[in-house]
Amino acid sequence: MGKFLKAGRIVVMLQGRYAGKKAVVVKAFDDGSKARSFGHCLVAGIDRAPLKVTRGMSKKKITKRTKVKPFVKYVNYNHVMPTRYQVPNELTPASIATDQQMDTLDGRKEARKFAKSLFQEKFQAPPPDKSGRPSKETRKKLLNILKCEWCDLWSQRHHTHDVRW
Amino acid sequence: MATKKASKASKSADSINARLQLVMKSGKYCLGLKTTLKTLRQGKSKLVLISNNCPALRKSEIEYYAMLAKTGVHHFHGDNNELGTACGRYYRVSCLSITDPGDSDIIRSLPGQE
Repeated sequence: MGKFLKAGRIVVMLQGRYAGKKAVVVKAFDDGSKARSFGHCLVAGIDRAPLKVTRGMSKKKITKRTKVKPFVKYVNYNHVMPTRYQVPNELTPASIATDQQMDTLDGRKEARKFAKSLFQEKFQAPPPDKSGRPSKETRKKLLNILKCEWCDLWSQRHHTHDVRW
Repeated sequence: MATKKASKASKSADSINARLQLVMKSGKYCLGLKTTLKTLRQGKSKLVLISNNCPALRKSEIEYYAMLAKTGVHHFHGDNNELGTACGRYYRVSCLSITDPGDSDIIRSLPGQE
């Protein structure tokens, strides 16, 4: 009996251009707002995750492949799947984008830039866990594949065309 | 031994139906996937019931939401036709969410049984 769609929760987008991509809830509007009379949330997510990098690549290639392309978007609750993962509080997920920023095109660009720098920074230097060493788990939480049972089933289902529900 | 277990199972099934009847009369509930998920998201759901022929993806989706919301899930011993009948409806019900049990003790008794 708890509300779990709060700022900092990691969700998977289910519909739209960003379907299948992961995002962080920045702000949740449970009762909707004037513009959107349904439960929705503002999310900042990853459109394009950094690519794999090997030792044999040049510096220029490496910097290109470690780029993160972010997005910020208002999404209906029905179009996201919440996961059990949350972003640690130090990242202040609520500050990634604000409503005022989202109102204007330039503001959205700013928000995206900020999200990009945040994600990029956390990817390059994942925050250390209790033992002081950079934690693989936090890196995983932000960017890598979060294999939850539901996501497995969902991707299975969306790849097979002969399944009849 | 087998008969004892079987009779216990049928007994508990009857009691669940009776409790559900009471909820339908006195409490608040939501029938169907969309509204069930809505109540789970809002944190209003106290108990979720899923029929046994609910598609696996939908079942695990509801269970996952319920896990996040710390809400109990009960797998009803019957398919959606029977769950619909247990709710007193003439249509099928695959999943339902109880937001207010009313006079019923379904919330107190069921999770204990599980």
